[in-house]
Amino acid sequence: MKGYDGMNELLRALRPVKNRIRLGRLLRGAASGLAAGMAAALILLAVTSFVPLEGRWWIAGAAAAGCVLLGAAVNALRPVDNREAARTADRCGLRERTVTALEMADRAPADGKAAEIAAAQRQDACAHLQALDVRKIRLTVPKKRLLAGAVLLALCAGTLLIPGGGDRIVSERRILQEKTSRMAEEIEEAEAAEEAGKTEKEKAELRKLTADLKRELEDSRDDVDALVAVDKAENRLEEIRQKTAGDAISELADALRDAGMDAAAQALENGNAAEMSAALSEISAEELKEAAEGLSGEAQEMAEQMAQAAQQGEMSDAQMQAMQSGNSQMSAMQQALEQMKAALGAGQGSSSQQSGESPSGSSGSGGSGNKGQSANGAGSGTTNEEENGGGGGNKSSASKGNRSPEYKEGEYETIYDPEKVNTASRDVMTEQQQLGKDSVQIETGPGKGSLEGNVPYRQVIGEYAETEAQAAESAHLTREQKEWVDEYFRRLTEE
Amino acid sequence: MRERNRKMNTNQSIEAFAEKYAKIRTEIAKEMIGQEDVVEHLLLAVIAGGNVLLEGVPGLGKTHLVRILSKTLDLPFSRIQFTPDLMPADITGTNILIRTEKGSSFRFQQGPLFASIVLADEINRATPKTQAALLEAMQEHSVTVAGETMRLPEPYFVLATQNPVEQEGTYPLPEAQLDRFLFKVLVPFPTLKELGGIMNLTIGSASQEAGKAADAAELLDMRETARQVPVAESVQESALRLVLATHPETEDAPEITKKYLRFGASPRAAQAILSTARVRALEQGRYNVAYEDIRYVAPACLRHRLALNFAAVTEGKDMESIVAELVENYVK
Repeated sequence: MKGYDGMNELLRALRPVKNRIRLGRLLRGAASGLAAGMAAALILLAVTSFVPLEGRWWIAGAAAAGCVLLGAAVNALRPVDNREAARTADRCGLRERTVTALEMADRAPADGKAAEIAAAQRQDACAHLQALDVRKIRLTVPKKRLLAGAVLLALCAGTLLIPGGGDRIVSERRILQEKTSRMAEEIEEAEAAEEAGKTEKEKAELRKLTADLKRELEDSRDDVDALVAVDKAENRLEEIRQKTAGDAISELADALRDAGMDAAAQALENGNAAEMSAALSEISAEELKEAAEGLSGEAQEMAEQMAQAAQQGEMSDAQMQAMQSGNSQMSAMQQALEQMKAALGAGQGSSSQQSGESPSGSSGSGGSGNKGQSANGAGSGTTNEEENGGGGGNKSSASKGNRSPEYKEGEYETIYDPEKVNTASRDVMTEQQQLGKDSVQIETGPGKGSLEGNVPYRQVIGEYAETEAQAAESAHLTREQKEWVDEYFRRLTEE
Repeated sequence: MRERNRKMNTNQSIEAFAEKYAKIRTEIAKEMIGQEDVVEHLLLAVIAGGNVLLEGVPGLGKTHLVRILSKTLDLPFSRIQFTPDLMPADITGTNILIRTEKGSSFRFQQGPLFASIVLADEINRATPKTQAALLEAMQEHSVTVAGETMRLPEPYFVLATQNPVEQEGTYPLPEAQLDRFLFKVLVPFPTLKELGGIMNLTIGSASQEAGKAADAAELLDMRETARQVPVAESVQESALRLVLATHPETEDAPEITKKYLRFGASPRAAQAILSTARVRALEQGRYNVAYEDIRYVAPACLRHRLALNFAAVTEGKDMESIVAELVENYVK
C-alpha cells in the first residue's frame, strides 16, 4: 500500500511533465497534419483545376485545416507513457531520479534500509519534479514538416496558374443556375397563360411538361444541357399542339358533318386545300360559325379560319397547313421557349468563344439554319441541332424538324429545297412576327401549294452533308458533336 | 514507532553519509594540496570496499595521500616498499620459533598485510611471486600461511602505487592481479597553483594537520548505506553495455574496440562501476545512481582492465581516449 501511495504521489508530480509532452506532440502532430493537409489540398486543387468543383478553395482549406486538427488531436490524445515522462523529466537535470523512483515503485517493496532508501529516493524525485520548470522541456517543432507544408502551400497557390477551367466552369454554372431559375419562373407564367381555353387533360400535360422542364433546367450542368431540355420541351409542346389540333379537326369535322357539310369535313380531315376551297365555295361563313358553336376553342378557331377562307373564296396550302398543325400563331409557351433558347444560345456562344467549344446538340450555324427546311413539314432535312444554331434567332415554325435524327430517319422520302424550285414559280411566303426583341422568320414553302421544291433527298443529301460538314468545322464544335453531325448525314446517305 | 525510528535512522545515516564524506574530504585537503580527482576516486573506492592502484611519477604525493587517508579514517596502516627481493612471507607474515621457559613453540608473526590500509609502494618492483601473495588478501581479505587461513581486519584496502616511467627492473602486474584493483587512478602532475600550495605547506610556514574524520565502524556503515542505493534498469544496463563493448571478440563490439583492444574488461569491472557509482551518488546528495556517476567512475574502472593491441600502439592510441570514446557512446 505504501508503494501504491508512493506511485500516486510520483504520478501526480509527473502530470505537468506529461502535459508538456502532450503539448509537444500536439505541435508535432499539427505540423505533420499541416504537411499532409497541404498535400491533400494540393491534390484536390490540382484535380479540380480540370474537374469543376463548387467551392474548391473552401474544400481544400477545410481539408488542410481538418488534417492539422486531426494530426494535433491524434498526437495529443495519445496517452503518455510514465517511463517516457520520467525520462523526459530526467533529461531536464533530474539525473535519473524519476526513472529510478518509477522503477522502485513498481518493484516489490524491499525491507529494511533498502526500503527506506527507496522511499527517500522517491520523495527526492517528487520534490525535484515539483520544483522542475517544465518549460525546460523543449517543444521541438519538426522544421522539415513545416517546410514541407510551406512548400505545398506555395504549390497550392501555384495551381492558380494551371490553365484549367475549373473556376470558370463553376462560375458559368452559377450564372446558368440563375438564368435557368429565371427561365423556370418565365415558363411557369407562360404555362399559366397557355392553359386558357385548354381541356383539363391538356392542362395536365402542359403542367407536366413545365414541371419536367423546370427539373431538367435545375439539373443542367451547362448551357447545352439547358438547351437540350428546352428543345425537348419544345418537341413535347409541339406534340401536344399537334394532338390538340388533331382532336380539334376531328371535333370540327364531326360538327360539319352534323351540319350537312360533308365535303368540307372530308377536306378538313384530308388536309387538302383544293378540296377545301371547292367545299367552301358552297358554304357561307355564317353557316360555318353556326356549325362550330359550342365546340372547343381550338375547333372554333379553325372554323373561324375556314370562315375567313370562305369569304376569300379559297384556302391556300399554307392556311391548310397551319390548320393541320394547330395554330399558326406562336403560343405563350412557345414564345417563352424560343426566348429561352435564344438566351441560352447567346450565352453558349459567348462561352464557346471563351472555351473554344460548342455545346452539343446545337451544332447548326446561323448560315445554314434555313437550309433543308421543308414547307410541308413532313420531311425536313434539319434537326433540332441545326435549328438551334449559334445565331439563335431564325427558325422555321412551319418545318419544325425538331425531332431527333433517329426519330425521323425513315420519313425522309423527299426533301424541300428552295433552290431546286423553278425560279419563275418560286413564291415563298415569308411572314415576320415581332416577338419581343427577337424576330422570327417563317418560311412556309412555295406559294399556291406547289410541290416543285420537293425533290428526292438522295439527290441533295451529298451536297447538304458537305455543307453541314463545312459549317460544323467553322462552328468550333467538339469532336463528339462533329461526329454526331457526320453520323447523321452518313446514316441518311445509307438509307 | 519502531518503523518510524528506523526511517529516521536511515535518513540520518543518509544525511550522515554526505556529512561524513565531506568531513573526510576536508581533513584530507588540509594536508593534500590539489589532486581533488585522485582523492575523490580514492575515497569512492575505499568506501565501496575496493583496492586502488595509484599510478604516477615519483614525488606526486601518492604515499603521502595514503598516509593521510589512514590518519583521517583512523585505521591501522602499514606500508610495504616493494623490491625485487621482497618475498611473500615478508608481507603475509610467517611462523617463527619462540623460546620460552616452557619450551619452544611456533608463533605466527603477522606481516604488514595485517592492517586495514596497506600501502604497496611501487608494487611492480616485486616479483610476480610476491605480487601473487597479495591476491588472496586483496580479494578474500584473508591470508593463508602454512595451511592456516587468517582473516584480515575490516575494512581492508590495498592501495598500491606504481611508476609508469621507470620500467627497468620492474614486473608488470598480471591481468588477474590488475583485475583485483577496483580503480586505477592516474596521479597527474600538480598545476602551478597547486604546486605553490604544496611549497607553502611543506617548506613554508603554513602547517595544518589532518585529523580523524571517521572510524572503521562509520566507514562500514557508509559502505552498507551505499550498497542500498537504487539503480535504474536503464542506468545499470548502460554500465553493462559499456563493459560488453570493451570485448573485441563480441559481434556487437564497436569499431574502436575491434580495432584497438586486445581483450576486454571482466565482470568485476561492471561490479566496480556500479558499486562506486552508488557511493558517488550519495556523495552528490542523490539517492539514485545517474548516468553521470557511471561516466565519472567508468574510466578508473576500465583503464587497467583493458589491453591495447599492436595496432593501437603503432597508431599511438592511448587507453584514455579509447575508454572516453566508449563511455561517451554507451553511457547515455
